[in-house]
Amino acid sequence: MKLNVTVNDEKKIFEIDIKDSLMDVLRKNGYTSVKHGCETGECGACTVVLNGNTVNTCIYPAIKAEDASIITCEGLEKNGKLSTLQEKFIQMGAIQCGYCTPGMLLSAYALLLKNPKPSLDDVKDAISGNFCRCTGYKKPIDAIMAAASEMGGVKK
Amino acid sequence: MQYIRELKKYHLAHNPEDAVRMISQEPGSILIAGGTELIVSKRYTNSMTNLVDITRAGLSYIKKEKKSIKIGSTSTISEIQHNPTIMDFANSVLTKAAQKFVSVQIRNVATIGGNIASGWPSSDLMPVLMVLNAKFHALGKDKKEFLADSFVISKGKTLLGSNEMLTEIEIPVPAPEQKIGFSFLKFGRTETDIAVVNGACALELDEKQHVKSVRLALGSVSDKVIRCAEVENELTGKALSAEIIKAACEHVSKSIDPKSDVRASAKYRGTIAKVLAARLITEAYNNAGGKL
Repeated sequence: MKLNVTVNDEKKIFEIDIKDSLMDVLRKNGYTSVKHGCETGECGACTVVLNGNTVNTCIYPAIKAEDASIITCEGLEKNGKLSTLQEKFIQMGAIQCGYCTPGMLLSAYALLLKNPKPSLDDVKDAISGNFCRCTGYKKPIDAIMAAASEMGGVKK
Repeated sequence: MQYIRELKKYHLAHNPEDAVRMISQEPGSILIAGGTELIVSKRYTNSMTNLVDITRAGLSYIKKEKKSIKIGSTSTISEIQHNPTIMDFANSVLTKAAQKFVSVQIRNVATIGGNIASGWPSSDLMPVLMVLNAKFHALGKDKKEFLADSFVISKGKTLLGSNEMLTEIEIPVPAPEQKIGFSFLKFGRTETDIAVVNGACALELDEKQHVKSVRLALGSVSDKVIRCAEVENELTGKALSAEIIKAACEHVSKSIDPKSDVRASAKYRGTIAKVLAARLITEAYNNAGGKL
């Protein structure tokens, strides 16, 4: 069967099986920033932004995504230039092995879409569903706060 | 989908009647809303061949009427969490429960109706809906109504028939003159983990600041979310003190039947349940205008 979706502002038609998860479909079609982690919706490595909200694609039936607009980590970069969030993650050393990074970036991206001036607690809540097993939450949080401050401003 | 290997069809229902017709006519049909359990839960089996998706059936709404708040069954946990009407209601208990509902990614997809109909003993919403005296509206052959208190029979089993669906959650709004306070607490290993024990309390005071009525519900300590009738009876009519609350909460053990699992031992759950109950009662009492 066919799935009509918009991925990173491009209209796409994917051939899918009714039992596929959205993660499988995206990865098969080249969006490999969507990481295959726990497969049970706990770790957040497979996070994408779907119609403005983050979802765990490993437990999201692809078929439910008909007509949806999806943003993956590939879509954060514009015209060969990394987004402020990505730049801050690099500058502040918020990446170790990198497996959780795309999901964390997208959780942060979705937060800043809705809440350009987040508090520290807002940031912590936003990435609470993105597990980092290299022991690093401090630097991602700092990087997100720094990006927010550069893009809009941070609540005291 | 490891538990549903024979899936053949997917229907998107455009209204509740449409959904009920589909599940009653086609054998092997099941309802899904957020579908967060579809890929991971053993409750789904190979005999299920058709999915009927109700997320676009017009049941995503939250509205306040004079005597009640009405929540459409496919409203997501995030929609509830960020809704200003819910935030302004009953000391924000429902907002607090929604905030503690695992991670943002799940809250964006999971629905209140799905959480209720799953009948999990660890539901964070269920204790709150029970102390708020909520009613669940359902549609099958006819319209039906269930009380939150008696809806779940045991873990995963509810009064909802196989050809019925939840349509609306109705929460009565207390009269403005009522001195009533609410509380919600969750104790887990981490912020996003399933509760070791969770619970909610509603407590009303009379003109003498004595307990007029109290409702206490605890989750994750039995095969369903339970009310603690013994504790409630012990407190009714009394002027409260920290000692009286503590003594009453000893009766928590009469209502609960905790089990050991990967998150906590039965004994630990039993101990935590008493502490959590006392905190819930104290917070609800203070929110009702008491001072402790």
